[in-house]
Amino acid sequence: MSGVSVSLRNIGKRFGSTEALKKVNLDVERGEFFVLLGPSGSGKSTLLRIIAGLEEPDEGEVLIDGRVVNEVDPSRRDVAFVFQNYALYPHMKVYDNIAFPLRMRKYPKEQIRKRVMEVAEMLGILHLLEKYPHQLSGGEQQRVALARAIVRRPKVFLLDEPLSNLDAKLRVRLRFELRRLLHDELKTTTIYVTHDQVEAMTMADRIAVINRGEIVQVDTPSGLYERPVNVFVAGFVGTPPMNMLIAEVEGGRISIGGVSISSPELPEGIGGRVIVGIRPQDIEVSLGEGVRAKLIGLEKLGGGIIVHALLGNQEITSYVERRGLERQLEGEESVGLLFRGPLYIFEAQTEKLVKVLSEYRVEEL
Amino acid sequence: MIRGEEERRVVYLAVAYTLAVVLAVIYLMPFLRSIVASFMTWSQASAYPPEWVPNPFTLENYMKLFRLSLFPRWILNTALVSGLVVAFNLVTCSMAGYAFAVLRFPRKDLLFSALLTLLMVPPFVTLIPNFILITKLGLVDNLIGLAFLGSASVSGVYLMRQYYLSLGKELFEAARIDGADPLKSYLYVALPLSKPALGALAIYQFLGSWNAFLGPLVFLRSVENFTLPVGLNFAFTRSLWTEYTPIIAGSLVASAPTIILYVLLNKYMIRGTVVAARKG
Repeated sequence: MSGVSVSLRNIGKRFGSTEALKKVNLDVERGEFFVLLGPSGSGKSTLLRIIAGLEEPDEGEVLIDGRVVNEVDPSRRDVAFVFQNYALYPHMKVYDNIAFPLRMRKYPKEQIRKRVMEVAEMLGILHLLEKYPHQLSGGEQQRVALARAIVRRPKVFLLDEPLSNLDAKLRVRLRFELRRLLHDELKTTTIYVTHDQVEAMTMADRIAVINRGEIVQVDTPSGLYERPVNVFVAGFVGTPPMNMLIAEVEGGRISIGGVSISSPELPEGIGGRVIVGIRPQDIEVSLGEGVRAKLIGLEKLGGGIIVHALLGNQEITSYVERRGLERQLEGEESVGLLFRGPLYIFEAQTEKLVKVLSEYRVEEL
Repeated sequence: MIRGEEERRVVYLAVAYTLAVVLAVIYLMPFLRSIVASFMTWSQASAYPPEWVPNPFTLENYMKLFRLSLFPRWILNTALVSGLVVAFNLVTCSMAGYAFAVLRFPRKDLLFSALLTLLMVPPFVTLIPNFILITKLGLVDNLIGLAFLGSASVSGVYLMRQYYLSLGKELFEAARIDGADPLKSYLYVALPLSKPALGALAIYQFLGSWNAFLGPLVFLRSVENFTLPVGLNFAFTRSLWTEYTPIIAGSLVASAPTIILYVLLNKYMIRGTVVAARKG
């Protein structure tokens, strides 16, 4: 169960004058649940379609199980694809939809029946086999699409935003089920495309963050969260998004709107403008202590509150899960902010991570 | 306030209905006139100002029609040609439409626009080359040859292509990944979903070839090979004048099948444009 399953070498793709993918290199391990995460238009779906063979790369190689498959037709790559809109055959009953890939491969009838029943039972859709796709709900259609993918036991599952057409509640339940099924039970390599970072964080073994046709970072969910390589990843992963504060470094001290930060970990030679990132979860809100900041609003989420405040003239948010805080903050004009978690220092020009400060002192000027 | 709105509504409806009735009358007039005239003598039908009540009421026009010994033969010929044209078109247009909509091949768009420009070429222009072609093939005065000439149509290819595009490319991509080659994907996915579009295509092609006059006139020689429109014209054209009333009666009889077909299949014509094969 080890080794590389899907490998991309210098994949490039253009659509007219736009460069959809730029020299993408990627190795997906066998049995891994791998997520391609990026905003819409980042090229993640194109990359998935290239792996499937539905799109041809302008340059580079696609390898599946060590074999270059650029010239291999999608039907022979032994991959299964789940489309965002499911693409079920509307004129076939659920049973025939699931049986279709096996029929195309000329499996004997009894074996088809056995496999379809097996998969239908696994996904809890035995009662739907005699129905047509248009008679099913979105969630049921989604299961049928999965069943059609699973039934022929492909080497790789490719899923293109399979949950995005479902309502929020179902999405949360299915993402858990999906991982359990594809990863834990079938132990099959899965490449999953999404723009939803929560989906990516909860499901993936590893995530590749894609932006503007380039892979920005490949890491485990906690790796991305704890060590984002640049401002884009830091802002994309985690909710609410990381605070990004413009700051000046001078004489080993970082100053942000009336606040001065010193740290023994701050590298020498760094100076001028930087971007300081801190996660909303790492800022504690207090009434007495901490750096004073002007309170500008609250977002109540039920389980917690997002506190919006102004530090100097820059907005800063804090996510607090303390009960009763809302009442305490009523009528207050300012709050105290206590920085508890790591500070991420990014270069202002390149937006790249320079250093993570875990030890630092905050003083008000 | 409310009364004003009510009044405006009434006026609006009155105008709309008047307009609709006027248009309907304009469109229906020739047809109604034909029905009335088919029961008239030629002298009454050609009188000016036109008369609308057959007097004397006569069935002679229809009798003349059924006295023609070749009348059933012509109906049969027309049905044969129309049937073949429809059958050919169902195959050629759906295959070509599928290829243009789903398959990927070099110069596809160029080829398709070249095909579309053929719509701008009047049929008279291609008449002579087609005649030479059919002559060389030895198919002049042959019903199969005539049907062969109508065996594919650009508008049909266009209709089918648009229809397949409306189904969404994912459906065919799914089939491809599921292991279907282009032919299988056409047979098992495209074709079974094409019923509405094929229905519309069949009706249009049938109407066209059933009523065709120019083609049969040029490519058919012997009387027993004539189709109905050509045959009727031939039977009632004397050396110096034409008996129009039996031709009118004949045309009405000839249009019966197309009207019946339309009533039976019009849901396909409507569905062909409205259908959404996918939910959501």
